[in-house]
Amino acid sequence: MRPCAVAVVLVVALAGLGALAAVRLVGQRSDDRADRSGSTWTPQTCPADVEVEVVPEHTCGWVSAPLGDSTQQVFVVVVEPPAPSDRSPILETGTDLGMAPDYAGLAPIAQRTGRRTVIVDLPGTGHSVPSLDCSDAESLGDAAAGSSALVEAIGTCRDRLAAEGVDPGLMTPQHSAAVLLAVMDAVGSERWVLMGHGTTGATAVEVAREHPDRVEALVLDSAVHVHDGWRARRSALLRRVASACAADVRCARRHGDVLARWREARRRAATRPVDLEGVPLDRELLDRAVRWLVAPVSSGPAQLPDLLGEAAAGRRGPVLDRFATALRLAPPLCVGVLPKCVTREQVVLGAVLSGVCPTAAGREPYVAVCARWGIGEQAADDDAVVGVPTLVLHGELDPYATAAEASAQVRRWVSGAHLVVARGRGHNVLGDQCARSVRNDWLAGPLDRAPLLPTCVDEDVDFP
Amino acid sequence: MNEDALLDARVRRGLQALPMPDEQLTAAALEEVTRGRPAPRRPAPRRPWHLALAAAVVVALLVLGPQLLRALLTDEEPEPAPSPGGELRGTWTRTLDGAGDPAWDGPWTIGFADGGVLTLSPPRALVAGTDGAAYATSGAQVRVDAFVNGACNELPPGTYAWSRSADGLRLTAVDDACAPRVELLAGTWTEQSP
Repeated sequence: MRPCAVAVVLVVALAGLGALAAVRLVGQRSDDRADRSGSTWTPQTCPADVEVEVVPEHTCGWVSAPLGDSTQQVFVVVVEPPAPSDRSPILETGTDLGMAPDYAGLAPIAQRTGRRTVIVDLPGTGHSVPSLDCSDAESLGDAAAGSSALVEAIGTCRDRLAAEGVDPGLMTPQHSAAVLLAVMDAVGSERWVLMGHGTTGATAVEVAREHPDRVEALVLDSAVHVHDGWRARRSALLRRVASACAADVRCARRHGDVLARWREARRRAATRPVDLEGVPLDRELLDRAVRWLVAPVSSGPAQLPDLLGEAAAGRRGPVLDRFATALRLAPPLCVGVLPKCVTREQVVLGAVLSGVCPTAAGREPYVAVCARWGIGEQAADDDAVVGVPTLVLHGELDPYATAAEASAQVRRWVSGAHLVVARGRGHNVLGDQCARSVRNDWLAGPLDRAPLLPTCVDEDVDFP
Repeated sequence: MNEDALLDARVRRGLQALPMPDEQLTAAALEEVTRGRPAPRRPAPRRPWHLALAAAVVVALLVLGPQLLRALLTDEEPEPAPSPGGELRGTWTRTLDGAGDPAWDGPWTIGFADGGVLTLSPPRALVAGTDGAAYATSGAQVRVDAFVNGACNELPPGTYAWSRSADGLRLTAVDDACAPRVELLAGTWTEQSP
């Protein structure tokens, strides 16, 4: 053989080997799973916000997933555990409805569980393209909720998206399940642990329902959001916090009777409401303040007596100051409406509507906006997930669903799920180290056993 | 001088007399300087770039081949590169006093371990979200994400300058918006005896 021919053969062989190895090294396989969904994985340099927030070893990339007649580019961050692991990776569906994931808060899951963790920007949110960002509507601010201006801005956004060939109706939790499956195919593992934080958990449930063979386990944190029945939940919540405060010497001395503070706050809200930068703290807004404060793990039920004390006294203190700031910064339909509401930059209103309208289009405050967004209530799939080990964590004092409501919903979703109710906690209990230890231990052991419950699960509200 | 040596000398002289020793001229010169006597049997002239390319490919295959084959034939992930950290690695202690949250006061232990794992042992009875923390070094700076699911919820990781001295490990906040983390980390840490 001539030398040049030898060289050419060698070069071709080397190139082939290199290409195949590169495909394997980024986790992509050209097997039948990838062929099935037609998804592809494209590595990319991580954007600045990911680099700022994520400390452990990580990579970023795009998954091309089908969206009707076109495709969408789904952004994912892959976080590696400290040591290589052959255990099924975790697919993390995000932080909560309509929000870009809190990458910093989710990245430690890889170390805590010893599993590779893939964080997905669900369709329409974060870096995923197309975005359901409706900046004109979002910039109207909290006060626009219920106004014709908001409905009009939502309609304008909807029309713009339609002109761009984007159908928000294809970005509901049910449709987003296909996107998660595309990610599972493209990143290249047969079996996965699906982990849903907050209301994004519904998407993980859909995947488990359709493809139980691909799901090693399902972990849901505060995944149930009930849109009606607030008054009953409020009464139970107040009684429970009042009882816990009475049993805590410091809290009782500082706040006295919490139920009495609540009644005073309600009375003042009806007669002489506290001014929050031009917005009166009326009864409706007081209810929203309670939900806004109690839900997040960063505040929680422990701060409720402080809120009621300030509202009853008609005096803005640290809690009402923070509430006023949230009202000023957040988009409409967010503060005290969504379980997690941070800033305009993190909440994508269009994604919220695509997520919530299938279950709440007939309820306020969504009726007019969901109608204009073009998504009505959709019949729920009655088939429960079968054969997938499932751990559901729920806060006893979650203002968006009581433990009983969560239990009922979980039974409809998954057959044989283990429900762990964290005493004295609000929404998103995995923000608490105790609940994380329950999850980590359960995932480390045989998944057919019930989770072990440490004593901290029964600890009551920890008042400051 | 033997016959081959004489031939080499003639070839060298002939080539030196040529202004542009390209391929055709070299062939003509060879013919000229060897005219009058039968040319010795030599291998056909080889093109040097072929040799170089083939050699490079062979070397590349020898060097990279085993790694490529391992990546192709196994499901194992490649071993992670050891996280840089150098002298930062180890276990350190410090007693915090006068923290904004009094529950944070007391003895703390911090460990910079392999794989970028940052361990934190708080004072007894404090549950501060110390699990799952990580660190990454870049020169004399270290980024830490401790307490992202606790006291530093919704805040980005902090960046600290680090240096070692006879006194121990000194951490200085460069950029960290989380006050409790700064209170804890910024200062001098004493190396824990093995």
